[in-house]
Amino acid sequence: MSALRWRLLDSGADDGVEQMAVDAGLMDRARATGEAVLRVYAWSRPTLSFGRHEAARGRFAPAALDAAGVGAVRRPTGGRVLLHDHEVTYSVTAPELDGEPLRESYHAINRLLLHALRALGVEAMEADPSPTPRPGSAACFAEPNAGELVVNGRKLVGSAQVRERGALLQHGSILLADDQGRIAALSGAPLTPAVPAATLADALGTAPTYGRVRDALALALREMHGDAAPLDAGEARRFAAPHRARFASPEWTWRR
Amino acid sequence: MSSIPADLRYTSDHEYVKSTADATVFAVGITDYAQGELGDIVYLELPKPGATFAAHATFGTVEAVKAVSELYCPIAGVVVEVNPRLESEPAIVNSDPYGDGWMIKLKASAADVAALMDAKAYTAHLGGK
Repeated sequence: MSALRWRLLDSGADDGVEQMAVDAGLMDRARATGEAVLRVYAWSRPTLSFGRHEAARGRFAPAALDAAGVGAVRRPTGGRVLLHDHEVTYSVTAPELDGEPLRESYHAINRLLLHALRALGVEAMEADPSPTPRPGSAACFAEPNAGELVVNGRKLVGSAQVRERGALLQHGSILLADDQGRIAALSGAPLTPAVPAATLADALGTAPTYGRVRDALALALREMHGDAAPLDAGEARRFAAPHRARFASPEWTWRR
Repeated sequence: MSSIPADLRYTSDHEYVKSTADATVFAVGITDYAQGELGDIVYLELPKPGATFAAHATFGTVEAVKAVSELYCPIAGVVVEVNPRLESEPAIVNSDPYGDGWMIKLKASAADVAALMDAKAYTAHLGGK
C-alpha cells in the first residue's frame, strides 16, 4: 500500500446511512482514481452496525432501538455487531494491488493505526491468533481476533474489511470510552459474556478529543506514506450518492 | 506451496471448475491458495438453484477473518445445485476446497471450461506462491 497516492478526509459526525454510503462510495473513487483515502468520522447519534452476514432479526428489534434513540445500519464489511458512540471511526479505501495478499493490507493499515496510537501515548499491539468466531455468536468487541489491536489483551480497535471489484475498504472503531455493554441491554437475546473493551480513556486516564485522534492519524499517514492532500467532503458525498438507498433500506439492514 | 490438482481448470480470481459425472455440469469452488489467503471462513452467501450468471459475474460472497470477498463465476451458466453443507459448516472450504468444499454446480458449456487456465498455467499465475 506504500506505493499508493494517499488523500485525507475528515467527514465529522453524521448518521449511519451517510457514513456507510461514503465508505462504499470511496471504493468507487479508489477504482476510478487509483488513490487511497484515509477517512476519519464520527456518529451523530448512537448507532448499532451489523456485520454484512450477521443475523440481526430476532436479536434486535427496530422499535426498541428507536425507543432507545439508537440507530441501526448494516455494514458492507464482515464481523459482528458494535455500538458506535464514543469513538473515532477510521476507514481506508484503496485500489486492490495485484498480488498483494489480503493480510498484508490488513497489517499495513494496522501499522498506520499503531503509529498513530503510539503518538497519542498508547502502546497497543496486534492480537495473537485465536479461533475465529462465526457471525452472530457475540459482539465485535467481546474478543479480539488475530491481528486486531489490543491493549493488555483487550480489544481497542475493531476492524473489518471488504474487497469488491478491485477495491478494498477497511473501517474500524477506535474507542474513546466503552459503550459496548449497552449492546446486551439493546438485544432481545443474550450475547456471549464480553470481556470489557479497552478504551483510550482507560489507557490515557482521560479520553482524547476527536480532533486529537484525527490529527494523530493524519500525522501517522504523512510520516508513513508522505504528503496526503485533503479530499473535499463534497466530492466524497457525490461518490456516496448511489449508495444511500441501499444503506437506508430496511431490506438491507434487516436482511438476516 | 498450495495444492493445484492437474485435472481441474482455474481462473485468475482463484476459482476452480471441476467436471462431474454429467458432462454438462461443473462444480465451482475456490482454490487451496484462495482459502489459505482468506483464512478461517465463517460464512458463505451463495445463490439459489436456477440462478443464471454471466462469466465474471458475482455469484456470492465469502466472509473470513473479518474480511468479506466476492466470488466470481468462472464461466456463464445456470446454478443446478448449491452445496448444502456449507451453510452450517463453512470451514469445509478451508479443509477440503477441491472436494467437500465445492460451492455451486453449474450447467455450462464444456468449451467455456476448456478455455480456462489448466493447472500448469495456474501454477505459473501463482508464481510459486
